[in-house]
Amino acid sequence: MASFAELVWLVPIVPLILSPFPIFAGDKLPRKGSFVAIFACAVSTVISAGVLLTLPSHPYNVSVQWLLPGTATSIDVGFYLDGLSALMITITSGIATLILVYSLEYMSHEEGLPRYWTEMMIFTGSMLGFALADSVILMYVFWELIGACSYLLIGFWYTKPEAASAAKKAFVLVRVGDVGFLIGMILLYTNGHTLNLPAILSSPATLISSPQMRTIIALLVFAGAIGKSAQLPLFPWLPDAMEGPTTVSALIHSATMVAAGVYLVARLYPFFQVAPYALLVVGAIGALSAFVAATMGLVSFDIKRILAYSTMSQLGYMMVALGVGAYGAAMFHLMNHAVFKAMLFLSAGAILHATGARDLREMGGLLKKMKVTGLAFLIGGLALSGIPPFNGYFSKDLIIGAAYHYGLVTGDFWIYLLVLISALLTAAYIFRAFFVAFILPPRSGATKEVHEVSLTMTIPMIILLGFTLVTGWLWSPLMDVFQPFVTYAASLGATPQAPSYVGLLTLAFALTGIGLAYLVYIRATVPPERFSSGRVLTKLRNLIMRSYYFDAAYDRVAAGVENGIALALDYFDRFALDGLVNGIGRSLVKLGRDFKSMETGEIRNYVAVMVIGAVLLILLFEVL
Amino acid sequence: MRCYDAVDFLTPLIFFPLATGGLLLALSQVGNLDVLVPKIALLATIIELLLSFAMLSAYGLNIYKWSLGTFSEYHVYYWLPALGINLQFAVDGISVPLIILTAFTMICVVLSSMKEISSRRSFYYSLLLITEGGIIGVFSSLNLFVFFIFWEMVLIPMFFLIGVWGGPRREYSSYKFLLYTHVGSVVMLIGIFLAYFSTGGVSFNMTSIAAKLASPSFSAVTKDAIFGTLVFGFLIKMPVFPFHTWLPDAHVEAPSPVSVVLASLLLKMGGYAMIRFAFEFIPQVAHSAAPFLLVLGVISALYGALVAYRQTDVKRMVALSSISHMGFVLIGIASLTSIGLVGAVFQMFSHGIIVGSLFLLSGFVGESTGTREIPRLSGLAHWLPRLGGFMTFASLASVGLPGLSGFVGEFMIISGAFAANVAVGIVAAIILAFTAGYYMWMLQRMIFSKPMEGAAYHDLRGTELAALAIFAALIILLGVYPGLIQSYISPSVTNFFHMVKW
Repeated sequence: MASFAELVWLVPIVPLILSPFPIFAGDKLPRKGSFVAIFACAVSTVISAGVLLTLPSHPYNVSVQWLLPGTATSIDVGFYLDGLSALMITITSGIATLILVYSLEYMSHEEGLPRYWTEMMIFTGSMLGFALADSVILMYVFWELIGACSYLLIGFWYTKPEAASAAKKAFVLVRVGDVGFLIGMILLYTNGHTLNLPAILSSPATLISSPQMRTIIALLVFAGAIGKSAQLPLFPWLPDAMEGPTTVSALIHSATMVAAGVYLVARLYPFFQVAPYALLVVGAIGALSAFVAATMGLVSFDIKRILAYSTMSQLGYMMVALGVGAYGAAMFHLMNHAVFKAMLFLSAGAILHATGARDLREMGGLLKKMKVTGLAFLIGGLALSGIPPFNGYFSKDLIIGAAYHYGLVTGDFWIYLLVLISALLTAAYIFRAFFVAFILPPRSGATKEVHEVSLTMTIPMIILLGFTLVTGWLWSPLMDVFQPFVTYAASLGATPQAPSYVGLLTLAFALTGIGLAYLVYIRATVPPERFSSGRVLTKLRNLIMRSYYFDAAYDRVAAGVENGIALALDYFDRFALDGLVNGIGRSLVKLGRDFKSMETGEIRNYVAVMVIGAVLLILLFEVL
Repeated sequence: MRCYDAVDFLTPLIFFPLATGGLLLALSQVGNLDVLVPKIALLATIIELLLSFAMLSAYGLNIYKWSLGTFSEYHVYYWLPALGINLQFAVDGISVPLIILTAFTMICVVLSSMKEISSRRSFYYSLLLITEGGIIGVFSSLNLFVFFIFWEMVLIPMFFLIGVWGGPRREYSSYKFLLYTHVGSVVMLIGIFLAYFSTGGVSFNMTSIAAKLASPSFSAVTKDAIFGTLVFGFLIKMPVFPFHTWLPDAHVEAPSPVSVVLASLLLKMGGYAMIRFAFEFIPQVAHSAAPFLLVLGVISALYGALVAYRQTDVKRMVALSSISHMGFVLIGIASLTSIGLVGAVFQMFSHGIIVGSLFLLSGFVGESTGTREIPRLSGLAHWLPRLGGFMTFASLASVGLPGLSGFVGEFMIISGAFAANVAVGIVAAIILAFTAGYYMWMLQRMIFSKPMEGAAYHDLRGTELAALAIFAALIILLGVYPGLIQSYISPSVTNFFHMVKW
C-alpha cells in the first residue's frame, strides 16, 4: 500500500498542474473555475494532513537531475519530507483552502476572476513546492515564483494606480533582497559544490571550510529573507501591498508567503548555526523590526495597514526566536501566527465587504451588527497580544523567555527589552483598532445599514477561531508534541527556558497595553488627540507616520538612478557616442568626395562593388 | 562530397530556404503572388523546422574530431579547392540549439508578418527566407571564407528589410545598420585573410588554421592581430558597448517581425562567432584577452540596463535590454568556465525567444494604439487583456524569473562569473535588480494603472497570437526542463574544456 509520504509530490503538483484551467476555461466553468482551485487546494490539504499524521521516522528524499552545466557539479532537484516541511505544507494548504472558500463570496463580484483563481493556485502550488524543495536552487525557483504571484495579486485591481504602484514596489524591493539570496546561493554552489539540502544540513562546516565564507553566505541568504519577510530595512512594500484584495493579504501577506523568510532560515538552521555572527544579525534585525513595526501599527488608521505592520512585527518575533536559538519556538509562532493573523485579515475583509471602509475613522459600533466578525477580531487580537489561553500566548511566551535567557547568557538584554516593549505596543495597537472599529459609536452618524456577512465567509473564520483555541496547547505545560516534531537535526537543541516570572512580566506588559488602549479610547481619560499635540510628540508622530523615512529614502534612490546615472548615460549614448560615430562618418564622406566618380551614394552600388571585388580577389588567388 | 554515410540533413537545412527565397524572388517577377506568398513562406519555415528536428535526431551519429572538439555532423563540398575554399558544414552542441532557435523563430516571424506586411510581399518573404538560410549557414560553416559569405549574405537582406518596410527614419537607421556592421565585416575580413596568409595560404578551413595557429612557433603578434580583428567584428554584431548605437535605432525603425530577426537571431551570430571563431579558434589568445572582454561584458550589461531606464519608446527600451542581456552572454563566454559557456549558449537561446516575444508585443502596441511612447500609454491591459497578459509574462521572463528560461542562463552565467572574478559576479547579480526595476516600471505605467481614453484598439489574435504562443510555450518548457537544450550544449562544452586546458 502506498503510504502518504510517497504521494507527497502531488501536494505542490496538483495546484500547479490544474492552475491553467480557470484562466483558459474559466468563463465556461461554473463560478469562473473557482471549484477547480478549491478542489486542488483541498486535495493538497488532505494529502498534507495525511503525510503529517503518518510521517516516516527518517526524512524522505527523492531527486532527479535538472541541470548539468558543463564540467561543474550537476544540479539536482526533488523534494525533502521531514517534520518541518510536513508542518509547513499542512499550514499552507489548509489556510489556502479556507481562504479560497472565503473568496467564493468575497470576490464574487469582481471582474477578472479566472485570473484570480489561477494566480492563487500558482501561488499555493509554488509555496508548497518551496516548503518541500530539497535543494537551495529549487527553493529559490519557487521563492521567486511566489514573489511573482504576490506581484500579480497585489496588482489584481491593476486599473487602480496605487495598486499598480504597490505591485511594482513589492517586486523590486523584494528583488533587492533576492539578489542577496542569489549571490549567496551561487557562492554556496561555487564553494561547496552542492546545493542539495541533505548535504548542506548534515555537515555544513565541512562543506564550506572557511567560517568567514559561511557567515557571508548565511547573511546573503538572510538578505532574501529580509526582503520576503518585510524586515528592516526592506519592509515598505508590505503596508503598500494591502492595495490587493484582502484575501490575498490574508493568504500571501500574512499567513504564508511572508513567513517563507522565516522558514528559509529555519530550513537552513544548521548552516546558520555554524556561521559565526549570522544568528546575532538575524536576532537583531528581528528585534528592531518587531519594535519599529509595532510603533507604526500604533499610528496607522487603515485597518489593513495596521494588520500589515503587525505581521511585520510578529515576523520579527520569529526572527528573534531564530536568532536567540529558540528554533522550535520560531516555527511554533509561525504556525500560530498563520492561524490567528489569517483570521484577523478575514475579519477585516468582512468589515470591508460589509461597510466598504478600511479607515478606522469610518467604522464604529460594528460588534453589535457583525457578531461573528467581531468575535473573530477580538479572539485574534487576544491571541496576537499574547493572552492565554489563545495560541499566540504560548509561542510568544516561549520567544520572549528565550530572549531573556539569551540576555542572561550573553549579557545583552536589549533584544529582550525590545521584544518586551513591543509586546505592550502590540496589545495597544490591536485593541486600539478593536475599540475604535467595534465598540465606539460611529463618528459620522449612521452611514449605511450593515449586516453580518454570509456563511461562506463566516465558516472559514469560525474554523480558524477553533484552531486559535487549539494549536497553542500542542506545546504547553500539558503536552509537548510540537518541539520534537520539527527538530530535524541533532544540532537543534531544546528551546532555552526562562524562569516563570518572566512569563508573568510579559503577560503584565500585554495587559497593560490593552489597558492603555482602553483608557485612551473607551474611557477617554487621555484623549487620543493629546498624542498629536506638542512639539516632540508631533515630530515623533510624523517620523513614525512616514515609516521612519524609509519610503522617502527609497524614492530618492530610485530617482537618483533614473534622473542621475541613467539620464547621464542616456545623454552620453545619444550624443557623445553617436556624435562621435556620425562625426567620423561625416569626415569619411568628405574624404569620399574625392572619389566621387566611383561613389554614387547608392547602396546597391556599394554592394555590387563589394561582390565584384570579392570575385576579382578569388580569381586573383586562383591565378596565383 | 560527403564524408559519412548517414543521411545529410544539414546541407538542405542551409540551402532549402535560400532556394525557396530565390524562387519566390524569381516568381514575383512573373506574376502577382501576394496572396499566396505568406502561406508558401510559412510552409517553407515549417519544413525547415522539421528538417532541423531531423538533423537533431540524426545528431550524434557521426563524430568529427578536431584539435579542440568534436562535430557530430560534418559535410564537405569542394568549391575552390585550389584556394582552400570549400563548403564545410558541421554542427556541434553549440550550434545545434541556435539552429533550432532560428527555425522556431522564423516561423514566428512569418506568422507575425502576415498582417503587418502588406506591400511587396514576395520581395519581403524572399528576403526573410534568404536571411534564414544565411543565418543557418553562419551557424554551421567551418570554412572561414564561406562563413564570411553567409555573414554578409544576412546583412544585405536585413538592410532592405529595414530600409523598405521600416518606420519614418528607416533610411537613416538602415544605413547606420549597414555601415556599422559593414565596418565590422571589413575588419573581420582582414582578420580572415591574415589568418589565411599567415598560415601559408593553403586553406580557409577553420580547423586546419586553428591547428597551425596553435603551434608554439607561430608569431604571437600575428595571432593577437587575427584575434583582435575577428573579435572587433563580433563585438559590433553582438553588440557590445561602445559599438552598440546602431541597434536601438535599427530596432525602432524596423517593422516588428524584422526586429525579431534582428534581436533573436542576428545578435546571436555575434555571440556564436565569438565562441567558435575567437575562443575556440585561438584559445591561447582568448585566454589572455578574456579579462578585458569580461569587463566589456559587465560594462555592456550594466550600461544597457541603466540607459534602458530613460527610454520612453518601449521598443527602444527592449532594444537596450537586449544589449544588457547580450552583455551577459559575453560575461559567460569570457568567464572561461564551462558553466559560464554553457550558460552563454543557453542564454542566447532563451534571449532569442524572450526578446522575440517582447519585440512582437512592443511593435503591436504601436500598431494598435498608434504610439509606443510609454508616457502616452496607460492601463492597456484593460483594453487589450491578451496583450497585457503576454507583456507581463514576457517581462517576467526577461527579468529572469525562475521557472522561465531566462533564469537558467543567468544562473549559469553568474556562477561562471563568480568563479572567474567575484566582483564581476556581484555586479552581474546586481544588474538583475536593475532589470527588474525598468521592466516593472514599464508594466506599471503602460500596461497597468488607469486605463486611457478610447477603446477602439484591437487585441492580439490569429497569427500574432500563434507566434506569441509558440514563444511562450518554449519559454516555459525550457524554464521547467532546461535539459532539453542543455543536454546538447554541455557535452560539447565539456569536451572543449577538456582539450583546451586553460
